[in-house]
Amino acid sequence: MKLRIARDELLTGLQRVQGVVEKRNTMPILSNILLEAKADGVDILATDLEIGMRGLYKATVQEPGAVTLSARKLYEILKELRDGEIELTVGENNWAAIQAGKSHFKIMGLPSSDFPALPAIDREGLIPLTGAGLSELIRKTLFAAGDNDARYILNGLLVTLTTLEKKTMLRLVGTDGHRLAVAEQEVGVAPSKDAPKEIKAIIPKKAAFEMRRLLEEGDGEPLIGFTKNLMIFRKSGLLLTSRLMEGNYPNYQQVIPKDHDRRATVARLEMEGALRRVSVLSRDKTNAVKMTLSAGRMALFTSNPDFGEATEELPAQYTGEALTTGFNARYLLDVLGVIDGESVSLQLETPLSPCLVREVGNSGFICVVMPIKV
Amino acid sequence: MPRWVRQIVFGDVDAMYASSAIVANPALAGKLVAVGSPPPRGIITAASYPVRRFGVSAAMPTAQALRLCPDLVLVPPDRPLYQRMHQRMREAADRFFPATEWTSIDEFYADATDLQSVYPDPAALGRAVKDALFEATGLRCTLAVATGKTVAKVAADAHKPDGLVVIPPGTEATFLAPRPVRSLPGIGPKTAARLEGLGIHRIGDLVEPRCEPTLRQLWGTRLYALQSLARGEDHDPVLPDREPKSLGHETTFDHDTDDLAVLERTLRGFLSELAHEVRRDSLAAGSFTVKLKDAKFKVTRRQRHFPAPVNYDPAMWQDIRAALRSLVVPRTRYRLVGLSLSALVPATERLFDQRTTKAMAAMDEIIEKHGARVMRCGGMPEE
Repeated sequence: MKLRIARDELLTGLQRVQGVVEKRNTMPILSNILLEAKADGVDILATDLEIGMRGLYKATVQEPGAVTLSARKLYEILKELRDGEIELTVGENNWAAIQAGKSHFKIMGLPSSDFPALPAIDREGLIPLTGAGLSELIRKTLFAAGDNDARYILNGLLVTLTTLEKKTMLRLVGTDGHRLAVAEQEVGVAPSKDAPKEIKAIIPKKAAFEMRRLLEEGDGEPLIGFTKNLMIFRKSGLLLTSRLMEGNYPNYQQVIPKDHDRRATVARLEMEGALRRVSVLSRDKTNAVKMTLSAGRMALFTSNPDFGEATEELPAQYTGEALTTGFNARYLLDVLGVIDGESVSLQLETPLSPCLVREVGNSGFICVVMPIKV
Repeated sequence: MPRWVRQIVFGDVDAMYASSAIVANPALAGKLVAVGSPPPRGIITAASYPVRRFGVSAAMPTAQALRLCPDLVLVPPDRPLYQRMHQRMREAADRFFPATEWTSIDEFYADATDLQSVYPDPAALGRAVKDALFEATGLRCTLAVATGKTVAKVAADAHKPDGLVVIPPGTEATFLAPRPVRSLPGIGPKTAARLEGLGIHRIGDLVEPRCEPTLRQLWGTRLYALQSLARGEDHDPVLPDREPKSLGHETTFDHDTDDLAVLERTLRGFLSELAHEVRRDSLAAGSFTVKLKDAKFKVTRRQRHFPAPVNYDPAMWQDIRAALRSLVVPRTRYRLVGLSLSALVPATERLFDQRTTKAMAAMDEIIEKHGARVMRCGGMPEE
């Protein structure tokens, strides 16, 4: 195998797969990427067995072939190289030589035949989406999904894709059992007069994160499709596949509080700033902050037996009875961080009931945060 | 009456567990009540004063206690009841003092320095506090007023039960001098025995110049701190309570055991009580420690984190049992097992287990009202 490729082109390909490559080193070959030199360029593949990514990059292939090389080392080398062409030659025993100007590297590879194949896709049935819409939905829900939660299914996002009457609606749901984010919007025009259909799937958090990274590059609208156990995502020549998570997603609709009047509306940035300030003195780990709502105002209070206490008041549109509750400040800050509007509404029935947080003027996003007793 | 520079009150409830049992069940009044678990394995947790006269003491096997005092009425421990009593005492004490420091479920220090304008006579203050505590709980306590914590504690210990004692400023050293060294906090049975061997019996001996060289060899510079205490000089402040850092429970078997089932059953019992307490305080535990002491008194411990802070005992048990099993050495007999829950943090309510949370809250309320024996989680067999 021998090819010439622009340093920037290869670097882009390597940057895209860094997140996919397995870092825990369970199987040594998973920390490698597969390079396949073909007549029309070089394919770069990476997988952690759950997620796979493939992209074709422009290159002058003098001799087709394939090799797997350490994703990290190759990336580190490329990052340090100057702009220009590089020559990659793979010799015997998978030794790869990289020649760039006066720099010369020889790195050890593993045979391409050992690299796990990306899952076979029998029927794609791809649906076009607006990239901005999908990216927005991921941003608004990913923060709420679990991180290494013992209940495996909470480490994913629930995706519901509905096509009806020329509209494609997408809803994403994330929860870690203490907070829940549901975001929904129209993300495109349904391809034809197909019967309305609804697809439900649970995708790993990592897949959503990688999709968002690719979407942030801009440049071309994505296509998404689902098979029985796979999600397929295509965008400007790139293919991302992800295994779907098996299991039952909790009945999230049941825990969303019904609309009622006990609601406070506050300026989002003002509340975010106040929370950041008082949480400096909140207790470690739980970040507990006490919140009191009374006519026309919201008061935030924290105390830490080792340091001291902090309090801040801000105006709030609130007319109900005075109410005191507590929250993990981190949970509230996470929600406020994904809300775009100027004001935010918080709806609470009792001090210990779920708090419904909404963006004023956007019915497509809701978040539920469970309080803590303080 | 001249104003004291510092006025510290120490209160200690008389035989709290046994007395609480009598308050909860007045039919026990006048009987020889002790709290503990039944023979053959059970031990006495606490004995009332009349029972103590038979030579029965805490940590004694129940079988032995019954031999010493055949008319003994054995009452099972009821931690929720004690907690309830503790809570009421706290509320009553908080009505008097700006700051109280509870060093255990039945003992507290309070700073009464600023109360002297209201109660110029410390004895009058003491009587008022004793009456208020009795009114709130039905329990009698011993109260001491002094200028420092140590003197107040030693004085109260010497005037139990139902005592009230005031050690006026300037008389601390003369009060302490004739007391046995063992009564000074910080001097345990082993140190006391060594001091006895050196001919030092009374607190007053600690400040005798003739004893100083011997004592300096024993304690080094720590001697001066102990001598200050012995003179009644004690500036340790009353620190209002901090959040509990951990909650624990342990028991010594009256026969050493190598039976894993016995160890597991005991821990499971501790867990349901501790988890109840953690839930009652709206907390969740981030980690736990299992402790074992074998027949040769070798102590082993295993501390582990829960995947996330938790207060629902069925969800905690798997990890605790695994830790116990990894700690137990085959063919070793154990005399003590203990469990503590630590890294306590305010509990975050759960979105998807609201029914479980409600059911647990209902159960906890019933336990608070009627005692730990009436109800427990399913799948957690009886002790």
